[in-house]
Amino acid sequence: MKFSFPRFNLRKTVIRCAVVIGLIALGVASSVLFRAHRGLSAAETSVRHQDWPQARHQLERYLWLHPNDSQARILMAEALVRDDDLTVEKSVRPAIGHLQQVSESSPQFAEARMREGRLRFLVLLQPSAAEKQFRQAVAADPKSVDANLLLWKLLDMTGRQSMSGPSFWRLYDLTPEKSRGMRLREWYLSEFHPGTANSAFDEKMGFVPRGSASSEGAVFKRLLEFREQDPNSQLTHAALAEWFRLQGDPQHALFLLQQAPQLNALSQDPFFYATQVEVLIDLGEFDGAVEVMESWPKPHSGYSFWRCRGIVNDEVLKDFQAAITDYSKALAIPAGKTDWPLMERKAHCLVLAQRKAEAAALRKKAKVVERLMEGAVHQRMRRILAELQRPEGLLEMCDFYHKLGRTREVESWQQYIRFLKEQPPVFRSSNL
Amino acid sequence: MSLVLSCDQSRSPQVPKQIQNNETTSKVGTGLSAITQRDSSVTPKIKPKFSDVAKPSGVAFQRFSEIVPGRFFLPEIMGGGVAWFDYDGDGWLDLYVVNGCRLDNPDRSQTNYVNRLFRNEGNGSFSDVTFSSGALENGYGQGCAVGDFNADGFPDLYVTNFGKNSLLENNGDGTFSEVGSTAGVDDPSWGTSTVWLDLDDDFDLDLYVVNYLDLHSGNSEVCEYNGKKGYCGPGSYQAKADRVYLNQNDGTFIESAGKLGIEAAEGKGLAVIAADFDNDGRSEVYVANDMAANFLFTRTQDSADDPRSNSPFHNVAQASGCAVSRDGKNEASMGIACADFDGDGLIDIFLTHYYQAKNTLYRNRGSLVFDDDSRRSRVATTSFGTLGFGTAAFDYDRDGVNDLFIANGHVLGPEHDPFAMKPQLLRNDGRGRFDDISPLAGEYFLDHFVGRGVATADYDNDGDADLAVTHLNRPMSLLRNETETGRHFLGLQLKTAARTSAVGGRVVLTFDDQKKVITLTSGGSYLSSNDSRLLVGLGDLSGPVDLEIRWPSGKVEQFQGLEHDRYWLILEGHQSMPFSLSEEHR
Repeated sequence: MKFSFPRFNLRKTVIRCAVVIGLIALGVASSVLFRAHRGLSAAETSVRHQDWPQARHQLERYLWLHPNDSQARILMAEALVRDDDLTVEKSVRPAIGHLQQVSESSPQFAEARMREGRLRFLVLLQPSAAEKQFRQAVAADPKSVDANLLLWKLLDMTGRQSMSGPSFWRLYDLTPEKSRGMRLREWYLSEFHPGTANSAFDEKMGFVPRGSASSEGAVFKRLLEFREQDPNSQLTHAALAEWFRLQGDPQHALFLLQQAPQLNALSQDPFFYATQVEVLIDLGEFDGAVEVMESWPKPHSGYSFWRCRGIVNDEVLKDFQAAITDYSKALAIPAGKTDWPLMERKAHCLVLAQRKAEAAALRKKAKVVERLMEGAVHQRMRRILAELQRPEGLLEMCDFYHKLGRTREVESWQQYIRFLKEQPPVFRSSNL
Repeated sequence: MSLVLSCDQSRSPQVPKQIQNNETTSKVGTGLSAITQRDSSVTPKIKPKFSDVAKPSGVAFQRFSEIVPGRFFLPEIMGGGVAWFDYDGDGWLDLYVVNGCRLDNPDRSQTNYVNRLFRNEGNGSFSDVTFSSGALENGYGQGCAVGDFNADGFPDLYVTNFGKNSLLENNGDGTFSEVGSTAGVDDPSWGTSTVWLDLDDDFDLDLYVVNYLDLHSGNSEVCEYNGKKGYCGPGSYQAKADRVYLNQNDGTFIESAGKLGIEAAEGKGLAVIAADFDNDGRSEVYVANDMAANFLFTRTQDSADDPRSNSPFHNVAQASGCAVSRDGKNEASMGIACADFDGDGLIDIFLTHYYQAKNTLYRNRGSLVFDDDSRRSRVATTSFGTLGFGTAAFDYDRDGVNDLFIANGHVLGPEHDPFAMKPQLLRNDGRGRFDDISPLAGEYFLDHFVGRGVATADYDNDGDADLAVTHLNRPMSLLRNETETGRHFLGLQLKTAARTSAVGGRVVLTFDDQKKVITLTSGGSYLSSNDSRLLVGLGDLSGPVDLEIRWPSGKVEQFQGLEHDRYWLILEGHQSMPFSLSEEHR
């Protein structure tokens, strides 16, 4: 009997094994990829169901395979931030880490920057770092409502209402027509009631108890906390210093400014310069004020720059003609239209320049504006603004801004009034 | 005094400890690197020295203000004035101090709370002659002003009250008679400061009476500041118009504010001074108002807003730049001191103001144009932490330039912090820039007071200016100037031909090739009256002094070679004569 072993074809066996292994690997890979891919949509579902741990688990797996997926990064940030069971350390900072991985080339770049800015501003109380994010977001997507809104509020809440016009008006243009009255009311409040205009934000940030209105005390608390949490920014030091200056304590304002970090020339903040100039002049340190003015970073423009240069020319250098020119430029800018003390300063320079008739006329104008700033006027304005659906009352807003020479506001209120009048009574009686 | 800030604006919230550090740490940042915290102990060449000698001198007085806890009736915290004048003509300045009384039911027959007259015995001590002199004014007193209204050579006293004002006529025998009612000057409004000057060019003294608020127990309000009750300020009440009484030269006066064009209802005034601000030989009247625009009344027609107006006086403060701050804001003006602080021959105006607000120095640029130079002069930076009332411009070290004394103290009440404050001595560097040298000036300046009235005088005739200061809740102080200067002085007592004060006139001194122009003033400070004599520091001069006097009448007289370090009496139209008391009493 002939016994024979089956023929062992090594080559075939290897090939078969390889195919099997390949098939298995393919299956596993497909399964993993499929599950991972399903993980993103599952994570989205988990987010919708507010199942944050599950969403994070799904996203972690997904991001392991898709580290450059911006949408997933943003979702992960949300799943971290919205989970109340996590501490700030375990939620916000990792969330920012995810958002920072969204590259500039991504379509979600603006969204990521806005979200990072929002976390830095509202949770970490770091306005300077947040502002940088908002500005990047607006540059990438000028139509970002949230970025424009937050940038405007940030400027307002750091004592820079006079610089917030551009972001506000971008936001206004993005606002649906029916909500523009509300937006204009917010704008009015931020300019004329700065202490109480940001109650909702102050409440969110923990500076006022729930349901309470902001106050000067809350503003102080806010600025103090900003400086504490964002110590490497000139802005936060300047904002607190300016608050002390306005309270009549320039000596302490100087102390705070002297603690601010010295940054390189490109990142130096004009607000920091403006605060320095005003504090140094208050303290009679005129040489220092001139030195700061001379080193003001470019561009040499804007309300703060012209105002400060006017004050230096007027009070320090006694160059009244130059001061008149500078003051005129500052007063021509929207923020300058309400600055009746600056009008008085200019009028005084006109007297000293022997232009008494012009001085008298400007003083009259300043008096008109000063009266428009009186408490009784604004009590009435607030009553009117409580009824945004009444076009008759809102005409007074037009009149108010007309007297100030603020054409953009006049036109905007007029448009809104026209819109209201075109609406059926149901809309007008609804609670805006 | 201003209490018009809303409650949440009136004070800074509590500043946490971590930012209360007043040390300058790192000095970084462009511009700031050059700035160090101004050393508050600037050491002048001559160290000031003032000693409170009230007690050893026999000036025992503590104002009764009747502060009733919880009532918060504003007159309670206004304090009272003080006046220096030589009522008995012995060459030594006596001291009159204004007292309060019960506010709810003033009894004009009571003698428990009366103004006090302290006679200067000439040996450093004073004796209380209130009762023997008959100067028993017992209303709720506020201010006092000295002026010889009947030109009999004996200075009289006008006293403002929270209630009817009084005129104490000096009988010339060491006694006084109250003639307010018969003279027609017993204005019942809330009077504060007063100035005597010739307003109608008839060579007698008329009276400008500053009124404050239309306040009485029926309309008094209580305000809240940072959750605590306190006194309401001028924003809560209407103003009371000032009064101007023209002397009829028969012992009576006629109220003539309207006739003279001195009518401005929204005053709320606390201080007044008369001086010739535009060098035309005629006095202007400057009124410091509390949270209302200040007044500057002039007879200079070119300055009038409406040149067609027939009124003799016009209020030109607004156009002149001395009504409000540089940026057009009303300030809470409490006290005034006027002098040529920057040596340009023009008299400047210094005003004390509220807490966390600057004091103001209006620099006179000529032709009734003023420039708020508070920050350059550093009267701003030395005042943000204080609330000033009475103030005096005087030359503490005889260097020839006027320095400043300021009495400070808050107005909200003892429940509020700060209430008592340190007084201040500001040294003028000669260019109109001031340094706070208070810590060097003696123990008084290290203590905290609620300071109010201030009047300066060389009461011991040693050629330097001393100070009388009234406080709330503490005895008044008599600050004897013991600064050792080794420098010279010249004292002048000037009387016009009509035997009135020479306010509106000017004195030009020439010595050692230097020329010094001095404008003669009347009034100033807060509720108080300074020594009417002129005391001029001459520095280290070596020779005699020549003098030119431009009298308010327009007459110019010259006097050569006056010996320094003594007082001279000069009557218009007569030769100068050494004031006998100077040599023999020193």
